[in-house]
Amino acid sequence: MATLTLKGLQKSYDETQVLQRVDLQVADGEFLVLVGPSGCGKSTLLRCIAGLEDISDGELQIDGKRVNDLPPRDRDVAMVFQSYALYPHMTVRENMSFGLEVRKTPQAEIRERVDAAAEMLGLEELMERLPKAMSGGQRQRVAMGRAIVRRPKVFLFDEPLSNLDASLRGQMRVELKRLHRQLDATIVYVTHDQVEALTLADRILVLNSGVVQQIGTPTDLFDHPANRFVAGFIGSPSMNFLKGEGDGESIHVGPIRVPSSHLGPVSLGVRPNEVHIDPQGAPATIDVIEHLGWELHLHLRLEDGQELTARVETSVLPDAQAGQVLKVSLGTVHLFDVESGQRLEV
Amino acid sequence: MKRQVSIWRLVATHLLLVVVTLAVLYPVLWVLDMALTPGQAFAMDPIPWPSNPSLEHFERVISTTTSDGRWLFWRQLLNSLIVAGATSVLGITLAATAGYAMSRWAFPGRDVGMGLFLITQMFPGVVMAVPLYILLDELHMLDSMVGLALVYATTSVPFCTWNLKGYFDTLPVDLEEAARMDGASRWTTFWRILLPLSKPALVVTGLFSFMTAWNEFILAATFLGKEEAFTLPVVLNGYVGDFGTDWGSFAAAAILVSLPVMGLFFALQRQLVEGLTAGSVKG
Amino acid sequence: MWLLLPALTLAQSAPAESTEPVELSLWHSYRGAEREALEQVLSDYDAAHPELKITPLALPSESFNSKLEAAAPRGNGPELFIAASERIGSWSASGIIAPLELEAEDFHPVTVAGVQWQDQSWGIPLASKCVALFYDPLQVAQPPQSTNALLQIAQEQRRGEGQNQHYGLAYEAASAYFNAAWLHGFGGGIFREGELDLDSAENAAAMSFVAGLIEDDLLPQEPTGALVTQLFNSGQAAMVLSGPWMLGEIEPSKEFRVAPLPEISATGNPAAPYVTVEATFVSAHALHPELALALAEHLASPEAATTRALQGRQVVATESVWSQAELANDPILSAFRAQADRGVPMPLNPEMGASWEPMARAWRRVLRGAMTPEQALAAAQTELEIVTRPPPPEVDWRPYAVVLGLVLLGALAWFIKALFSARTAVAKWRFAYAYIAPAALAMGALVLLPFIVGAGVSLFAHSDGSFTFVGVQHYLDIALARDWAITSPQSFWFTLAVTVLWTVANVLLHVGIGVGLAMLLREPWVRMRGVFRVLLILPWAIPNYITALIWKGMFHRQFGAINGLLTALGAEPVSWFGGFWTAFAANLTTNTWLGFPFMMVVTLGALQSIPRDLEAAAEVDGANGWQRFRHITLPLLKPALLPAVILGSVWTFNMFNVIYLVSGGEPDGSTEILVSEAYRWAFTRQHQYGYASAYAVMIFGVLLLYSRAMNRIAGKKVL
Repeated sequence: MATLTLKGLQKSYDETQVLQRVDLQVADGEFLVLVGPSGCGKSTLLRCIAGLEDISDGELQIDGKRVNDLPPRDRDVAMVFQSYALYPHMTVRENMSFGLEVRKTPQAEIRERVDAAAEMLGLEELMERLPKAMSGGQRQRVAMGRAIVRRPKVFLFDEPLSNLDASLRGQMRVELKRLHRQLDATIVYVTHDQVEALTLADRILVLNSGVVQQIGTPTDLFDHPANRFVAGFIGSPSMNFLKGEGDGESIHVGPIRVPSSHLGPVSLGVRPNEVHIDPQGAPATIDVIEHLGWELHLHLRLEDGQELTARVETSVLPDAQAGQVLKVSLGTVHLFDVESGQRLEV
Repeated sequence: MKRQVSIWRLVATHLLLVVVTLAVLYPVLWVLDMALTPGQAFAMDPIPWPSNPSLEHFERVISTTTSDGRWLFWRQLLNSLIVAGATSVLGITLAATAGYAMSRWAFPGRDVGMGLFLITQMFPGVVMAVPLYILLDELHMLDSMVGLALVYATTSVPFCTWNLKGYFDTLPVDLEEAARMDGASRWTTFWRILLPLSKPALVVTGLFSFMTAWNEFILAATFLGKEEAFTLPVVLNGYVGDFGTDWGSFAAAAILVSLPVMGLFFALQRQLVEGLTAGSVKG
Repeated sequence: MWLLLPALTLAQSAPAESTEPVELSLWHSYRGAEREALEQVLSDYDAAHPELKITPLALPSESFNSKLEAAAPRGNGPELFIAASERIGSWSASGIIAPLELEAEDFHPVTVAGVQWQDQSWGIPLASKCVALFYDPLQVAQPPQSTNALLQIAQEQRRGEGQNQHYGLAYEAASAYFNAAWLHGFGGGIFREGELDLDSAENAAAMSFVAGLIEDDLLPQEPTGALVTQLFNSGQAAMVLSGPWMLGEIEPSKEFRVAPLPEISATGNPAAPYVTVEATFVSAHALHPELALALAEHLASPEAATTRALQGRQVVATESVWSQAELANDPILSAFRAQADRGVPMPLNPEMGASWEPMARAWRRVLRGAMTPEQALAAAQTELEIVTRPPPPEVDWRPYAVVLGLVLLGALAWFIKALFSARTAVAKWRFAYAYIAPAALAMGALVLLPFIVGAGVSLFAHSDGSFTFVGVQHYLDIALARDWAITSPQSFWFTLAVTVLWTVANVLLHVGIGVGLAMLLREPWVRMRGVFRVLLILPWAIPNYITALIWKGMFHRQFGAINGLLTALGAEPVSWFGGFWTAFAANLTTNTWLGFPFMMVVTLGALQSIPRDLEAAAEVDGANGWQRFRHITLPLLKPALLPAVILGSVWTFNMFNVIYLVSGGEPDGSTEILVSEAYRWAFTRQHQYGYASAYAVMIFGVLLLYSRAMNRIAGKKVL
C-alpha cells in the first residue's frame, strides 16, 4: 500500500483548463472519495492519477516518487471502470489473470491469487463464464476482482456502482467498505452520488468546475461546508438557501430572525432537518408534500415568496395538506457570503 | 413484441425478393449452362438449362498437365490459394495496425494520411503496370508469390484500413484503458484485446483482400514467368484467345475459380454483415 | 606421358558434362491442338539434346505483348518466342528481337514477306493463318466461285425467323479483319503505295457489298466468333468465313469442307484475306542466341513442321513438307494453303495496328446504317490520321527541371516546417507512426512510387520503344481538345461527361437497390433471410470479367436472352449496342448487377446498429413507412453510407472491365469512359503511353476534386 500526493496538479485541453492546481495528500490505506457534479473534472483527475491522461502541470507522486511521466503499467495502480470494461472474449478467470499474465507472474501464483480474490468476492462458481452471461452485480464483482488480484499500490474506482439498481448499489456499498477494511488499501473513488461519498469515504474531496472546493471528513463537510457549493452538494435533501439581511445583531429573513453579528446582505443556509415546526415561528404555506414513509419533505413558501424544504417526521404532521399554513423556525444555520459563496462565521 | 404483418405485405416482400434473386442468379446460371454443355455452345435461349449435361469441360480444365506430365490445375489452384492467402494476411496486418492508429490516436498527419490512402484508390491501373514491373524486378520479387501478394495487398489496404478503422471506432475505449491499467503494453492491448474483438471486421477485411488477389490476372500474367507459378485467373484468361474463345473451358474454369470464394461467402456471411460496419454508426 | 593427356582432358571435361543443362525459355500463346503439337516437338527436341532444357510458357494472348514488351528490355524475356509478326516493326526498333539469316526459298513466299522488315529477316516463319470459306457439303454441293454465286446460295438458304433463322452465310461481318478480304478483292485496302488510303472508292464499293448483305438480311446480326461457330455446328449456317482456329471447335460429327474465298464478280479479282504469319523470334537479349536459333530453325524443320501440320492442324510455312502425300491430300490444310497463296500479307507498318479501331468503327457505322460507306471511310481516315499523327516536337527539358526542382524544394521546406512546428506532438506520437509505418511504406513503394513514375511518363511521347520529352504538350492537346472536336466521342470532355453520368447513375442504382434490399432483408418475418442474403451477394463473389462477358452475350441483338425475354413479352427486340442510350443501359445494368451487393451488405451492417425503437417512436408519432425511412433510418445510415458512396464512386469511375467487355465503347466509342479511353491510347493506338498516362493523371485530378467536393458537401472529413 502506498501514499498518493498531488502537488498543484493541472490539466488543460488546448485552451480550456479542466483541473486547476489540485493539491491532495492521500494517506496509506485511506479511502478518498472524489465527488462533484458531472463534468466537474473528477473523472479526469482520476484518469490523470491512472496515467490515462497526461498531466499538464504539477506533480503526481506515489509513495513519494514522481510518476507524472510513467505509463499506467509502471505506476502500479488498478482501476475499476464505470462500464466494468471486462474483456468480452475472456472468461472471468482469464479476465482476472490478464493483468498478472502480462506482468509475467508465475502461473501458480496467478492461480493462487485469482482463487483468493474469487473467494473473497464469492465468484468461485462463475470463473469459467463469459462476461455476457453474467448479471450487472456479478460483472461489478469481477471488475473488482481484476483489480484486487493485482495487489496494486492504489485502487482507483470510477463511478463503479452507477450502473447498478438502487438496492444492489446499497449492498455493494457495504461490500466495498468491508473490502477496504480487509485489504487495507489506498483507494481513490469517484462518484457523483453524495450518499456514496458520505458512507464510504474516510475523506471527501469536493470538486466543481475543476476547482477543489473542500477536502475533509464526511462530518467536516456536512457540518462545516467551506462554501455554498459544498453545502448544497452534500446532504439530502439539499440545504435551503435564503436571502437575509444582517443588522449587526441578527439576520432577518422576512419575519424570521437568526442571531448573528453579521452586517448587510447574506446567504443563509439551513438544512431541511433544521427547519422546525414551531408555533412561535413565522408562517409558511405548504406547496408540495413528498411522503417518504416515516418522514415528510415539505416544500414551503414563506410570506416574502422565498422557498424552502423542511424534513419532518410523519408522526409530527400526520395529516398535512398542500395549502395548509404552518409556523416554522430555523435551527442551526450556516452563513455564506452573497458574492463569493464562502462560509462566514455566524 | 410480436407484430402482425399484413398478408399482402408478406407476399409482396417475398415475391419481390424471389424476383430479384432470380434476376441476380440468371447470369450465373448461364455460366453453369455453358460449363455443362458439351462442345462450344454459346447459345442464348432464354432458359439456361443444358440439354445433355456433361462434365467434359471440367475434366479437361482439371486434367491440364505440364509438358512433362505433372498436374497443373491443382498446382495453380495451390498458387492461387497461397497468393490470395498471403494477400489476406498481409492486407490484414498492414490495415489493422494502420487502422488502429488512425482510429485511436490523433497524431499530426493522420487526416492527411487517411486522405492519401483514399487517393491511392484513384490511380488508374493503366499507368501502373510497367513501373511496378520494373520495381519488382529491381527488388528481385518478380516471379515470386510474395511480390505479387505485396502488390495485391497494397491495392486492398485502403479499403481494409478504412473498414477496420470504422470498426475499431465502434469498440469502447474502456477495454483498452483497462488493459493498459492491467499493465499491458500498447502492442499487447492491440494484439490480445482489440484484435480478438474485431474478428468480424478482420474476416471481412481478409475476405476482401483474398478476393482482390483471387480474381486478378493482368498483373499476375505480367509478373509471373512460369506456368507452374501461374494463378488460376491467368489460366482462365488463357482460354480467351486472339481468334476465338474456348467458352466451355472458360465457363468451367470460371466456376471452379468462383467456387472457393462462394464457399467463403457462404461460411462467413454472418461476419460479413457484422464486419462491414462502414463507419461509426455504433459510436 | 602421351597416354596421360587424353585422360587429363577427359577428367577436365567430365565436370563440364555434368553441369546443369542450358535453359531455353520459349513463350507462345497457342492453345488446344496447336499447343499440344508444339509441346510434342519441343519435348522431342529436348530429349534429343540433353545439354538443353526447354521451358515453354503458354501465355494468355491478351497479356502476351504487354508482358513481352515489359520483360524483354529488362533481360527477363524468353530466349525465343512464337508470335504473330505484326509488331515486328516495334520489336525491332525497341531492340527486343535481333535480325537473322533466313533461307527464304524454304518457306512459302507470303510467310517470308511476313517476317521481313526494312530489308532484313527477323524471324523464322512457322505457319500462316487466314480466313477461308467453310461449308457444309450437305447444304452446299459446290463452293461458290464468285460473289454472285455466294449471294445466290445465301438467298436460297435463308429461311426461318429470330433465333431459329437459317443462313446461307455467316461471319463476323462487323470485323475489319474478316472484311479486309472484300476490300482487297474490290481493289482497295488500308494502304496504297505505303500511304494510308482508307477513303478510296474501292473500299466504299466493298462496304456497300457487305452492307447489302446485311440489308437483305442475309447475315446474322452482331455476329461474334462464338456465334458463327455455333451456327455452323448446329447447321443454321451453310457457309461461314473463318480461319484454322475454328477447326478445333467444330463438332466431331459435323461434316465440312474448306474452300478459298470466291472472286468478286464486280472486279473479277479473288477476295484476298489478310495472311497473318506466325514465326519464331530470337530475343536480342538471349543468353544463348546460337542455341535459341538452332531451336527456332528446328521448329521450322520439315520434321517439326509435319508434326505441327498433322497434329496441330497448322498451315505450316515450310514448303518441302507439302510434297508429302499426307499433307498434299489433306483437303482442309491444302485449301487454307491455296487461300494463303491468294492472300495479302498482313502489313507490318506500325500504322496498321492503329487502323483496326477506326476501320471497325467505320464498318459498324455502315452496317448500322448510320453512315454511307463514303462518309464512314472519310471519318475513319481522319481518325486514323489523328491517331497516327507524329508525336509532338521535343521540347527543352531544362525549364521543367527547374520548375520541378523548385516545387520539390518548396514541398520539402513546407514539410520540414510542418514537422518542426509539430515536433513535440510528433515525438509524443512516435508509436502511432510505428503502427502506420508498414502500411505507409508498402503503399508508398508499391502504389505511390509507380504512380509518380507512370505520371512522369505523361511528359514524354512514346514511339516504338523510344521516349522523347514533350513537356505538358499532351495535357494541352487533351484539355484543349486539339485532336478531336470537343463534341466528338473521342474528346476528353465528352468522355468525361459520359464518365460522370456513368458514375452518378451507377452509384444511385447501387445505393437505391442495396438499401432497398437491406431494408427488406432485416425484417424478422422474412423467411429464409440467410439464403436470400447469400444468393444476393453472389455477383460479388464471381470475378467480374466473367460475368461481364456473360452479360454481353445476354445483350446480343438476335441471340441474347434479354431480347429473347422481350420478344416473349411481345416487345420489339432492341439492338443494344446500336445506340448510345441502349449501350449505356447495357453497361449500367451489368455494373449495377455487380455493384449493389456491396452497398447492400454495408447497409445491412449499419442497420444492425440502429435501434428499432427509434422507428417505433416515429411510428407512434404518426410517421408512415416512407417518412420513417426518410427522416429516421436514412439520416442514421448516412455516416456509414457516405464513405461507401465515395469509395464506390471512385471504383465505378475507374471500372474498366465492364465498359471494355460489355459495350466495348460502342457505338462509335461514345460509351467509352476515361479509363478505357486511356487504355486504348496505351494499347491499341500505337502504344502512346505518354498520352495515355496524361489521361490517367487527369482522371486522378478529377477524382481528387470530387472527393474534395464530397468532403465539403458532407461538412466534415468523411474519409
